[in-house]
Amino acid sequence: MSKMDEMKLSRRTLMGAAAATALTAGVIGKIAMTSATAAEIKDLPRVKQKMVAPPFVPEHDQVAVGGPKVVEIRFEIEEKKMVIDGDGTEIWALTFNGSVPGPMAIVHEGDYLELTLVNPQSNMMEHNIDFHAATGALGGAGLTMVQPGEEVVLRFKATRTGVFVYHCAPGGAMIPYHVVHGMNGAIMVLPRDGLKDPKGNPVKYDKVFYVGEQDYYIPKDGDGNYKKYESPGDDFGDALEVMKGLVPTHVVFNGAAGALTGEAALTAKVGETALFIHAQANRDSRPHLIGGHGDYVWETGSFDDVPATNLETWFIRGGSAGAAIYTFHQPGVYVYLNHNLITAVMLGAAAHVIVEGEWDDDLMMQVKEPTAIA
Amino acid sequence: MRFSTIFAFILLVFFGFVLFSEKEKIKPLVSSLPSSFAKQKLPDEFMPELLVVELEFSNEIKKLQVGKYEITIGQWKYCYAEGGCSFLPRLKLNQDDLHPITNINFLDALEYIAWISKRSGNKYRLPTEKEWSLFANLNKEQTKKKLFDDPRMAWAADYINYQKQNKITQEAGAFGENQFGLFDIKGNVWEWTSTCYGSENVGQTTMINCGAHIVQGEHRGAIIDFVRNPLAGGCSIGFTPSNLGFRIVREL
Repeated sequence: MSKMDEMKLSRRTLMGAAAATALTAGVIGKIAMTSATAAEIKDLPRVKQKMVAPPFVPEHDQVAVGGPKVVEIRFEIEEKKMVIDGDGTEIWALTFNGSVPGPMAIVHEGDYLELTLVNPQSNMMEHNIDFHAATGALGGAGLTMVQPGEEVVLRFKATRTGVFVYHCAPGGAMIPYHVVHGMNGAIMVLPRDGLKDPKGNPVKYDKVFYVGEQDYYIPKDGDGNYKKYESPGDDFGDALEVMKGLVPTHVVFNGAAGALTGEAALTAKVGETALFIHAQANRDSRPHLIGGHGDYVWETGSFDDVPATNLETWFIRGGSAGAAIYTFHQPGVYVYLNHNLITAVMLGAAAHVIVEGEWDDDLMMQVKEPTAIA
Repeated sequence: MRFSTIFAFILLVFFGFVLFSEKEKIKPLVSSLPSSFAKQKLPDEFMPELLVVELEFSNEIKKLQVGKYEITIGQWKYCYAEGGCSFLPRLKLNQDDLHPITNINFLDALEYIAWISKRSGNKYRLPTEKEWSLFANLNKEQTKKKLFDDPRMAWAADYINYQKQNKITQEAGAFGENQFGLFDIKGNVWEWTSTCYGSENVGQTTMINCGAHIVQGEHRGAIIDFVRNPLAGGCSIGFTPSNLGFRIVREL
């Protein structure tokens, strides 16, 4: 039954994609149509991309250098105990490369992404991966199921630009279970000639902040304390009960409440431009930068769409990633959060950006300090 | 004679009712203890230990007795058992009687102080913010560090002291002692002071809001009196206290 649901889902995705292709004819059509032969792919240059832990992203060219290539990446699956808040609440997280979210891979449109997915013998569960950027076989999920002790290699062509979620999808209730235990992330497929503003001018960024928003559903005992478990999967029955209520106990950025605050806060300088990538594999979100804006926002994630401008808050549909460009004009501390403020303040979905530079009185000043009302 | 007895009884019932209903509406600041309580000596382990410290104010040096530790869960439970404290917070899995009491608001702290004062015959109180800063040696340590020196960015300057929250309390004493021999000043329990928000010049406002009091700990904050579990401590940058507790002082 779950397979059926998934089939319906992917059919709808394909139909939607077909409509989009018709609208933006040229670029997407061309690459999708030109099928390379096995020999041609074999002759393509191959590069290894070193994965780094979020909120950072691999070194990359914003504008592609040379022609298409095969970009090799490696994800090692790690089932590990993580502490997700200041109270010491624990989860047996299911992770790609040990982080929540998993690492970001970056390619250009027309490149091939070749993933080696490793499920070490030390793990308890079977895993796979569904790339929303990929076409066919349930996003690759149908070709990547690996038992503990196995590895698999999947190659797919990046035919659409944008930021896209990936996640584990081992079938049935295990799909949401794995996703809400951290097993998701995003990749970025850049246009070969880089990002563009609404007028078609090139847009460059100085840094990328890759934020994965994670909803957790931690079971409680009779006294209301969060339960702890001996090993991965032990919480399965309890967790499904909490998940069915659709009310997360935690919604956090990068794996744990406060993971992007204090000494781990994001940093920038006045005049620098940041690309915020926000991935949410399961649940809707509303990113907002307190004290700033979204200069250009690709809300649905597609870089072939004209970005929206000057947004205060943008919407990330559960199961998608979006991107926003912002140039900092004032120094200080900014809060990047889910502007469902209950989620941000009480459940954890907030990050901080420390920005250095000169304060601009023209943009803002405190004309008079608080005093007693005259 | 009989008439006046009945009258007194009616009066008692009436005022009892008034007192009772008041107690239901707002938590009493001073709880009325049965007189028998003060007759039994409070066991030593439930008596907060105080140390004499010399505090250097700008114009004088003053000696003050200061709680060596924050009030503990065990001490609080005694107050609760005797009816002096009307609220007992739900304890976390790792907490036992030797941990500091947390999840209590300003009014709860005053209840304890009223009870322990009555019970011991000593007059205890919360420290003022100034006293706290002096016995915590704040001037020499914490206030020096700023993220931004520009006064226009004072609103963000304290971010340098921001720490990722660790709400898990430890046994009293676990966070070490300072030069005065006081423990856990640098722990993860923020302590209530008797200073109203705005009544000292540290804040930006000249208004006095006594529905909120200054708490001190990992950072300075103003917390509304009825708040027990501060998920937010004021501004959106988010210096939310990890835990709220207190220590007591007594004048010599």
